[in-house]
Order: sequence, then structure tokens, then C-alpha cells
Amino acid sequence: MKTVLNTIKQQFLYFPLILRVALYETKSKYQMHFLGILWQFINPLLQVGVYWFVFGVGIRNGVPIEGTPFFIWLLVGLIPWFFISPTIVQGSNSIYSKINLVSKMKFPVSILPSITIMSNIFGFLITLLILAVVMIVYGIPVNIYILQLPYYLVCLFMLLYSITIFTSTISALIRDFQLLVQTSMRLLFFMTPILWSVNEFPERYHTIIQLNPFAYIVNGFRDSLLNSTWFYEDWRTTLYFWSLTILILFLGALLHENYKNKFVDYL
Amino acid sequence: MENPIVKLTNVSKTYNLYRKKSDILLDMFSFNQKKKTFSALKNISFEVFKGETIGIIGINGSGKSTLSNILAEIAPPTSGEITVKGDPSLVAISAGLNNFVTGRENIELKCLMHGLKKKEIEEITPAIIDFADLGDFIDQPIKSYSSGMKSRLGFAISVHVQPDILVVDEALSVGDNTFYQKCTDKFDEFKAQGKTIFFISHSLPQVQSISDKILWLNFGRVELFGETKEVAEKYKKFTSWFNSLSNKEKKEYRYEKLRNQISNGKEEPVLTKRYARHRKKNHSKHHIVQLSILLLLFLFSTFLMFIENPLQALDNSFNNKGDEKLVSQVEKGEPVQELSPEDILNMDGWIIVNESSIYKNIDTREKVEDLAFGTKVNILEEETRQNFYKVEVNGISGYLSKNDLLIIDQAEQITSDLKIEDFIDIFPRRISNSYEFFISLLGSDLEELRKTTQGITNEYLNDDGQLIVEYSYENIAYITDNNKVGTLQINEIDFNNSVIEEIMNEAFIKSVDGTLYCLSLENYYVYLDSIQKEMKISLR
Repeated sequence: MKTVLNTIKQQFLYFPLILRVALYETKSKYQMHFLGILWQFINPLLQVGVYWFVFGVGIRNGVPIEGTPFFIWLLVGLIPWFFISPTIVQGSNSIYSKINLVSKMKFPVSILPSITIMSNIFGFLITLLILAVVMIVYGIPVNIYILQLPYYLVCLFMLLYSITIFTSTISALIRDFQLLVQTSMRLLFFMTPILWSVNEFPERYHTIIQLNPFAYIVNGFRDSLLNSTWFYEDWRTTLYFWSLTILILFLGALLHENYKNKFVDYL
Repeated sequence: MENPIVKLTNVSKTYNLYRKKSDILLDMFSFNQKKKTFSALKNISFEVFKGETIGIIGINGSGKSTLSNILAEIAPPTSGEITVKGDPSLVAISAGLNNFVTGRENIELKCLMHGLKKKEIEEITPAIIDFADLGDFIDQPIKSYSSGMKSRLGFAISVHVQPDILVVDEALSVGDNTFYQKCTDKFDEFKAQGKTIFFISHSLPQVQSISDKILWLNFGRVELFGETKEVAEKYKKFTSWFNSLSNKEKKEYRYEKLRNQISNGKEEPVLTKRYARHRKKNHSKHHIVQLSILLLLFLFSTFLMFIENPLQALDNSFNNKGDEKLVSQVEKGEPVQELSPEDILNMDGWIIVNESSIYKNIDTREKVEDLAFGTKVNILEEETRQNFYKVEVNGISGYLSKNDLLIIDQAEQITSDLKIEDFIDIFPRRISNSYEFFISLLGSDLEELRKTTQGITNEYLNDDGQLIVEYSYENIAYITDNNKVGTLQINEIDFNNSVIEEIMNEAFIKSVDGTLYCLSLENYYVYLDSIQKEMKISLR
């Protein structure tokens, strides 16, 4: 437990450092491209357009889903996913890609995944703002349930850090793991209720779908913004989500602690 | 005597030599006990005091770079202890610069990672650029730099982040004289500030001119550590001896030394190592306990996910038996055969076939009236002779076949919790907004109905003499009896909805062929016809 707490403590202790490096990274990321920071929006915009056209207009015939226009419904699910997926893929690679840089100085390696998360947060927050504007344009009423959005954001960050500290450690040691992460994320996109609703499946599959922790997040976003459900109403899924997150965090922190000085040797 | 600023005791560094990729995996889970190792450093011990400049010298492969990594606290020693007081900074040729961004950005990134604030970085950047002397190249990506430029930039950054201990690894060997002069000036400045410098090189003249003391490494061991002059002389002798050897002899000498460094993992459990392992074991025991607790919690929560209503399930497992009996009785819903006359008086009969007939006389089968599914009848007495009941309905009395009737105790008649609102989804779209208005008209007079509504498309008498008022635009109709609006009929009910299933489950009577359902709500009876896809709602 001490190891885990230490790892978490480091994130707070070095928070200014995380913020500064993350800012620097976001700035330099798009510097090589002519359109620069615009890519942060062009990319998701194109994807939203295609998914909406194929699934909303095509397969669904533009019928609203659960009383919400499909476009909004899709957006609320896709926006967290646009944050989750690249963060996990880049986060898994964060130690491997930086170890050369970092190993020549005293640097807390455990904050590398946080830097990746942080540098993706900027884009995420901006897309959330865009979502707010779109929702106002569509006239979707906001109710008291939006208050639980911060809770789901905390869930999201905890889950992301737990997963990335685990995967980044392993993929620095075993390169094959990075490929596995990439493939899994692509598959998970379709396994998570983003393009479809859980209720469209027969009842007996609901539990299996909910075993996916990302489903908890995506459904949580919809519950906060579109539906009217509190997170504790489904306390079993909440318990499941947190026990899974803490388990992964614990495994990841232990593994990281064990290998943090040896990364250089394994390269 | 003051404390040493850097102290190494019995420091060893061994690398595992893997033959295949899979050996690494095995080693991670420490299955691979018999492994080949290479000791880059073996039992190194020395002390360095504040303000000293130490030259580290040795031929290729003597462990200089490994030692520099250990001194800069980048790589941990395999065994032994190292104490370093202060912040070390390493300068090496490939000093961790990002190849794809410009020199200026590299300065920013490196300084950021050293924990400097934005303002501090802005302050020292000009000094770094000036020191590195790169000209216009400062705004070019590092990949276009020459190796001299790279090492100059690396050196410039490292000396400007104010380290307490500077470890310079071969970085100056690529610089020209001008730069070299600049560096020695900087070293002197550092020395004046009382900082410690490790200077690693295989060039003796360079080392000689800079250092106070020299550490001579030879194939992983300290050959000699002492004053510059003394060690330099001996090293010179060694190199000239080594150079005088023929190529073959050189090779043999190297081979001999290298073989000493490689071990097959059979000997050597060093004391310190065993101690470390013991501590680790105790540590990991805690971890295993904590891990298994978390794992159990996780499995438990997963298990919970698969149980519907866990609290209820728990409750049920306690009071299981009593409930079961009750349920089975209700579910069967078969006509009750033997009833005492007193019982019957308290019970209602419900028609459970699509259409039943009431007879005046059992023997002649003289029909009085047809009764539809879901009609309630009062049972007067049992006519055991031919399986008939004598019943009374709407003021008419007669005989009814027992098979057409379901007898339910009034007290047991199940009222469903469903509300009319729950049906909105299955209503046709046109009335889903106005259904409340149409239902509110139930029980009113025919005249009132005609006055308050618009869009009546047809009125006609049906076979039973009831007046039907039709609103085909809304897909509904009212069935009136004696000028009273009794029943609202809604057509085109959506049967592809889960609400239908719920209605079917909640129905307290079903027709024998399973096409008709009757549901009792708080104020209404609801009849559902799965063939005609229509719903009838009437007041209780």
C-alpha cells in the first residue's frame, strides 16, 4: 500500500512539473505541421462526421435514441473516448519513448504517464466546451445530474493513470505489449457502448457489457448530461469499477516500483 | 575530517547476457536461475570530497561509462552502496537530446525536466546559447547537428542547470580547442564554487590537465586511485606496454580479462546481495497479502454484478420455501374445481375464452347472450351435474360452462402497479400527447363526448347494440352503452416494445389461447388484443 500511496503522492508533488512538461509537449506536438493546433479539432471532427453519417443517418435512419437526437447522444460518448484512446496508446509508450531523455537525469519516471494524460486533457477540455455549445444549440436541458460530472472525471483520470502506469511499465520491458494495447483499444471502441446503447442488447448481455470499465465512464457521461441517474443508483457497477481500478493501480505501481531503476538495463 | 560528498563501497554492476528475447521474460519472473552475467564493475570503493576534480581513465571496455551512470544515479548498482550528496548532472555525447525538435526547444525541455521554472529557463537560455556557440543552428532540429555541436549543446545545458556534482563522460573529446578552453574555464569556475567534477576520458593529457586525482579503471576494477602525477605515470607505462604487444597478444590479454568478468551464475552470492534479497522477501509478502485482498474484492464485486437484486436474492434464500408455494398457486391460475357455496359468494368469475355463451337452459342450450373475454360475472351457485355455473351478469342470469371461467377471490385479485402513462410508448404517435384527454372522457355522456371532441369520422351500432364512435384520424374509438362512454379502444398498438411484455406478465387473466390479456390497474381495466393489435381501456 505504501508503494501505491507513494506513487500517487509523487503525482501531486511534481504536479507543476507535469503541467509544464505537458504544456511544452502539446505546444511542440503540432509544430511540425502546417495546420498546427488545428489538427486537434480537425481529427475528431472528421471522425464524428463519419460515425454520425454511417451510424446515425445510415444505419439508424436518424431516429433519436433514448429520447435524445442521435448526434448529441453520439457526441457525449465519443468525446470521452477521443480522450481515453490516444491517452492509453501514447501513455503506454510514454516510458519507452522518454527513457533515453530521462535516464540521463534524476527524474521521477512515474510521472511520465501523467504527463501524457495531462497533455491530452487540454484537447479534451476544449472538446467538452464545444459539446456544451452544441448542446445549447440543440436546446438540451441541463439538470442537476450534471453535478456528478466531476465524479466521472475523477473516475476517468484514476482509471487512465492506473492503466497507463501498468501498461507503460510492461511495454518498456516487453515491446510486444505496445502492439497488444493498440489492438485492444481499437477493439474496445466497438465493445464500449459508444455507437450503440446497452439497452439495444438482450438483457442477459447487459452485465457482460458493463464489465468493461470504459462502459461505466461513457454511460456515466450520458447519465450526467442526458439521462437522469445518479452514480450510486447502480452501486454494484460502481463497486466493480473501483475495485478493478484500484487493483490495476496496485499492480501497476508495484511493477513500476520494481523496475523503475532498471529500465535502462532492459533497453 | 569532513564527510565525503560521494562514497562508494563495494559497488558492483553486473549485466545479464541474454541469448534470446524470451530469456528476458523468464528473468523478469525470476525463473531463469542459471544465467550468464557480465560484471562491468566489481567491488569498487572510493571516497571523493567536496571541490575535488576526479579524472577517470581506462582503456575501452574498462567500465568508465557504467561508473559514470552510477555516479550520476541513473543506473542503480547491482550490489554495494553508493551515497551521493547533492544533485548530479551527466554530460555525455548522446546526452538525451530530442532529435526532432530545435536546439532552443531542447534547452527548454531539458531545463523543464530538471525542474526549472519557466522564468528561470528564460533567464539562463541566452547564457546556454552563448556558451554552446551554435549560431543559427540553435533554431534547427538536432538531427542536423554535427556531433561536436550536439556535445557542446549538451554540455552547455548541463553546466547551466547548477548541479552540485558534474559528471562529464567523453563529451569534450569531440570539441575543438576553443571549446575545450571554454570548458576548462568553466571547470575552474566550478572548482572555485566548491563543486565536485568527475571527468571521464581515455585521453590522458586532457585528464591530467584538469584533475586533482585520477581513478584508473581496468576491466571493471580499480587499478589505482591517487594523485594525478603518480597515476598518470603508471597509466602511461601501462599503455605503452599494452601498445607494444602484438595484435595477437593484445587480443589474448583482453580475452583473459573479459573471461574473468563473465560468470555463469554459479558462484558469488555476495553478502550484501543476500541481505537485500531477504528484505525484499519480507516486503513482497506484504504485497502479496494486499494484492490478494484486492483481488478478492474485485472477484466479489464481479460476482455481485451477475446477481439481480443482490439484497433481495439474499432475502429470498432465507424465506425461500413459503414464497415458492404462493407463487406457484397464483401462476397456475386454473379454474378452481371444488368450492363450497360460501366460498363462491365471495368470488368473481372471469371469462377467459375469446367468446363464451350464457344459456337459459342447460339441456336445450338456449342462448341468452354472448360474453366477450374479460367479462366479470357473479357466480350464484354451482351446477355440479354438468360442469356449469349459474351466473348473473348485467341483470341477466343463466348458465355458463366451467371451462370458460376463471374464478378468483376478490381479495386476491391482483392490481398491477403499472399506470396508463407507462403505455405511452406503445400508443400510436398521434395520441401519445393527448391520451390523457381521451381517457378523461371515459364515463361521460355521449352528448358531452360529441360536444367536446372534434374529428369524429363515423358512428355505428355493433352486433351487441353498442354505439361505436370512431376517430379514424387518431386511430381510436369509443364504445358507448346506454348513452354512457364506457370503453376507449386504441388501435395500432406497437407490439415491438418491451412494455407489451410487461403487460402480458402483469395480466391477471389471459385467454386460453394466449392472445387476449386483461390487466387491472388502480382505476381501469385494460384489455390487450395481440391479434387485432388493439387496447381497450375501461373504468373499473
